[in-house]
Amino acid sequence: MPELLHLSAVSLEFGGVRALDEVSLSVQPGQIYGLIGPNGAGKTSLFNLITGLYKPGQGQIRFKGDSLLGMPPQHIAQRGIARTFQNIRLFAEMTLIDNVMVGMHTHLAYRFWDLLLRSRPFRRAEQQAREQAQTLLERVGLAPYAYALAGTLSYGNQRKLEIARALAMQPQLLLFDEPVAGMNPTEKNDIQGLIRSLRVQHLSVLLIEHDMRFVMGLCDALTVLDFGRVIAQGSPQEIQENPAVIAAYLGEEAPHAG
Amino acid sequence: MLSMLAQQLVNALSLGSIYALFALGFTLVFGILGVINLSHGGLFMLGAYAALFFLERHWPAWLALPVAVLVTGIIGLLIDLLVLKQLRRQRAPHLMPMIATIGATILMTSLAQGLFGAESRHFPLSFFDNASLTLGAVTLPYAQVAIMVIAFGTMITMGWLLKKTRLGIALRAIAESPRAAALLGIPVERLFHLTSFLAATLGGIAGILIGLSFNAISPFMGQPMLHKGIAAIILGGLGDIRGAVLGGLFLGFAEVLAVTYLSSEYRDAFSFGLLFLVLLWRPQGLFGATHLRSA
Amino acid sequence: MSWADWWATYSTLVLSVGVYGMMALSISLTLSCGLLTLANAAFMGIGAYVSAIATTAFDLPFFEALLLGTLGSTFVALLIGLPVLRLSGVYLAMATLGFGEVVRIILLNLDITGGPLGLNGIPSLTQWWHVLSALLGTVFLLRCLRASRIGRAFEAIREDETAARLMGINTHPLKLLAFVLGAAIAGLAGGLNAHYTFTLSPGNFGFENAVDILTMAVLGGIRGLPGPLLGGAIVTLLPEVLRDLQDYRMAANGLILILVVLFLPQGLWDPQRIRGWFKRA
Repeated sequence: MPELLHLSAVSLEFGGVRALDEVSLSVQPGQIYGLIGPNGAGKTSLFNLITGLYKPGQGQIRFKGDSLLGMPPQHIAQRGIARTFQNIRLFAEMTLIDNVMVGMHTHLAYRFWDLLLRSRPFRRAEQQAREQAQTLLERVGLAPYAYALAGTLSYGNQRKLEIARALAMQPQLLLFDEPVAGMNPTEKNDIQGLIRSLRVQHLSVLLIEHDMRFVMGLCDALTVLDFGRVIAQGSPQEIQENPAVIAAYLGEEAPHAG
Repeated sequence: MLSMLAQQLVNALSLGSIYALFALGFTLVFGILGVINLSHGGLFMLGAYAALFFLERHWPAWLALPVAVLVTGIIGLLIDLLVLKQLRRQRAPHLMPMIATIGATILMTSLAQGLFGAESRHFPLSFFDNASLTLGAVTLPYAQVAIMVIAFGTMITMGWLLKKTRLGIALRAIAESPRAAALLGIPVERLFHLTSFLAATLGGIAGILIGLSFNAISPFMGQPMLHKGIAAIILGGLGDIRGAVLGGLFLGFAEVLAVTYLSSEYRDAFSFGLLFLVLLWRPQGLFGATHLRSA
Repeated sequence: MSWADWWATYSTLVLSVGVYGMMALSISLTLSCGLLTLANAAFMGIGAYVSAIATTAFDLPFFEALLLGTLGSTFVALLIGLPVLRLSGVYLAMATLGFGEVVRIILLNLDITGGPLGLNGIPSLTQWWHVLSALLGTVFLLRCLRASRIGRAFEAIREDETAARLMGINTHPLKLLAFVLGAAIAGLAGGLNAHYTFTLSPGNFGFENAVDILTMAVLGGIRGLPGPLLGGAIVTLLPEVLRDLQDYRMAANGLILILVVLFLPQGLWDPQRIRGWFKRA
């Protein structure tokens, strides 16, 4: 099966400091892929590279075989990559349903004059979008608040709304940046179930998460980053037994100190 | 021909030095507070009118002018305390301080118009009316000499303050990152107030000097000056101190030479055309290093 | 006072409420995608001058003149919008302010615009129903936009442009759309304005006018279409109401701007606040 996302030897520098050093990984269609590592390991930077917010110093990023390098973020998103944010970036002063419908922007196919004439294609497309948005909100358990403002939601619910908004983009690859941070165990279970259900739809997921139980129970494959370098790759089982990973997490050795 | 050029260059230097002084205060606020204070033109006008107010009460110039500058500084401080500080506290988007300070300008202009009348006035000063200094073919009225001495003296003092003193180091730390500066124990909020005060005094001095230079002040003089200030600080790179001074001087020379050798009608179009081009071509300014914070 | 007398006295004022309602809507369009542009007064000036020259110097019919004015400002907006909208925040505000000055100075110096004296004897062609239909047309257009993916995208760009781009929204063309459409509305408003004021002078479209228009939108609020209309009416009528204050009249405008920014950052017409009242009741 061809790879969906492939990073080869990607490096990123900030003012002479290597944030990412020759990182390679590939995500297969339908795979749930975990990205773990201590704080500051460069996980979010990697997401920013994939989504076009940063430009890599070296290396290649391919999605469905095409290079994403030099592409602006909106074009990358249009090709089928959606993401959520570690420090939630919702449209706080818009309603939940409008947030989700913003995610559908590129799929709402009606023309400018349709909109002015309020023609049938326009009304039908808007109506369908609204219904789909409602369904997505139900899926993350936020349907009752559809017409509340996103900014009024609790922290955990904001994360769920971000997931719904990302799903509304009908992506092939979802990047979740700490999707369950700040959630209680029940909510974590719900999200785990939701992400598993995505696999049934043949969507791929690349996720960053610190909760090891969550990651190990969910992911098919993992990459461990430490100080911008890949220190291990493999199945959850392999990662848990990898001495380098254990060292990085427990701090037994400090090869990068000083 | 050559002497005319020399004379024009001196005029340009004196005009440019006032623009530079104005732009310095304007850019200082942006560099440190991170907001465009559009009331700087109003403060400039206020400085001139405060001077007029005291001079008309027969205060001697050596007292009236510094007090007028002080008054302008205090009004600048008040704008910071009553308006900008509140907006900082609300974390208002960057449009808000611009709109509010436009409001402050209109308020000041209207009050000046109400109190002093809409027509232009001149300072009741006569002590250096006709006296001048002759250097070869160039005639230097004492007023012009005084203007340049005051303008450059003030700028050099400000430069020293920012470069060499502890206060300057603290201010530059805030310009880099207010949050980091606060973590270092720098009293950021107090220095914001001080910056607003200092910037307003610079605006006030520039207003008085323009009044001396053209022997005319009007309630509406702030607006064109604000536009020139904007042009100067954008030419120099927003928030860049040295760039603002160079931008102001450049504008002075460009204007005087454009009027002398081209046509006077398009003098202002020239500076804004330039501003426009610079923004499109090099938004970080002609002279500035790349220094874009939260803009 | 008979109806005819009243109209003779106040028609200019009533028409101005409509025209400046359009202007407030025009700037609210760019504000609604988070762009502070100060060029709307200049676009109004372009529309006014082009259409006035069309009727006075070329004897064109009124509608064609209006169309020409609208197209003129639209065209100029397209031309400067392409490069200028790459800028953001204060740079954009400064650039559009600079553009406004350039337009004013050009109007001041061309022969065809009458230089500093401006244009005089412009035929009085604007009827109340012209203004009313232009205003209603504008409201209709903006209502359609708001209830569509474009309106939602505008809002998303205002709140977080980066997040909007990561949703796949092509932000640049949308910003250009808001800017150009705003200019078209301003151009039309300018053409209507020129044909009931008899005279035009470059000073009518300078910085002060730009600030007035901004005041209208900020005072009224840009969260709903009634906001700019309300703001436009208040700012237009205020000088009449405050006539006794004479020279201090503008002070009220300044004070309003400051107070609104500090205490009513969403403006007078804030749908959320209004919804809040109903919930409590």
